[in-house]
Amino acid sequence: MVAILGTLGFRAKSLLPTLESTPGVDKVVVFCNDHPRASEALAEVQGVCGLMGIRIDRVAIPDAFDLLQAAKAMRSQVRQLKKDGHEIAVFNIAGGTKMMSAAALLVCAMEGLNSVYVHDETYREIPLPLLKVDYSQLLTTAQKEILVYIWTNRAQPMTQVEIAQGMGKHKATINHHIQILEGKNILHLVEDPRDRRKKVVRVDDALELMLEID
Amino acid sequence: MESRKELLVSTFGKDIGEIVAGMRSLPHDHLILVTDTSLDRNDAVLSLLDRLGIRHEVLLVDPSDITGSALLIEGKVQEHLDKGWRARVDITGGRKLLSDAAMLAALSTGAEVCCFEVEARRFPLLTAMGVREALPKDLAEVLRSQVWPMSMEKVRGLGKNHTLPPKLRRMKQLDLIRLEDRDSPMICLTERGEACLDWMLRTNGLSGSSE
Repeated sequence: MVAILGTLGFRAKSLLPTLESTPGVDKVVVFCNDHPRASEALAEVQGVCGLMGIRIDRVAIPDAFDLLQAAKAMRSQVRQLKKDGHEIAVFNIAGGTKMMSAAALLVCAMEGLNSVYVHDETYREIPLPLLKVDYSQLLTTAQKEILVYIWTNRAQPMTQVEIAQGMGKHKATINHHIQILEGKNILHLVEDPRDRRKKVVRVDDALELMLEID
Repeated sequence: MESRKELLVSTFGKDIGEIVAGMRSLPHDHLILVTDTSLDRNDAVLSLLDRLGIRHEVLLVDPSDITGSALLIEGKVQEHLDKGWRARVDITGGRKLLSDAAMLAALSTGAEVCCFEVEARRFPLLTAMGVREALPKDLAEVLRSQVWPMSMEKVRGLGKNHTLPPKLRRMKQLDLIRLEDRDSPMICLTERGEACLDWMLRTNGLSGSSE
């Protein structure tokens, strides 16, 4: 079972070349929003899929400008397809908003998928040089534990001392790891709104997606 | 202590408005405008940057070459990261190809990605996890040094302890190569393999990561 995935905007032609060029496809999963023009493009793709005997599923992306939500929805689909035994031949990232395209690129890197861009004038397919990136493997067990603790308590940003106390670890150990994590751009030290002389550790929502710690 | 300098890379099409939100909300000691059309010194956007006293440069990329565009952006970002700067990439402006090229560069360098099309969206990526880092050094060397396609017979004829076959197996796991039945079985680069080789050949001094 071979599937292809694609982000879809207003032009079916951004996706159709991949349908034509990928051998043995029996399923297409399209990510698009509810805009009337996106629906028109989807109808065109559905028509072509109907003629070619290919099943098509549409996954709604309610907010086409939310990179994180779009990436989560896409990754969830990718994992479901793999679980169902599908081989994902390629992810066409040419259609949809810039954020949908960026989300698809991110998912391709995280899941190790082939990705292709379709040029918007020549409609030529351009394979992209992406390799699988397992962000969680970049971290040591201690670093993951610290991140999980910070993520779990993110509603109340903490200083490094508070993290050390909360985790029952030595302050110097926590400081050391936090310095490394800051260097990796995984967390940030920002001014504590409660006391401007102190700094609290801040993590972004993206952490949930990238490190799968939720 | 001297604070880290900040680089802002903004994709730009025609409208100044595309870069204003990023410029106003993201710190920057230097701004790089990525565009696919030449900008005259008198262009409104450059004139505005001059009047605001913003240090800037224009990076002209080829709209028909997404990989080449991504490499140019990556090169600029990496150059600043090597000097200890922090980098952010604002993908709001310009055509989508520019944004995708910038996203590829951000994935490769770990720069934070931002977009201001509707409202501010920021997404930090982890540092340095592009082709350069994700591809182990020994496999990068095989990809670069071998002639493709490669005869399967040649590989079978190698000694039992030769290092190439296990490397080829790892490259297959990364979907960089595949076996094709031509006149005789040949090991060929996949489309991903070709794209990665293209990326490597265009990048000076690329050496891959060490495992």
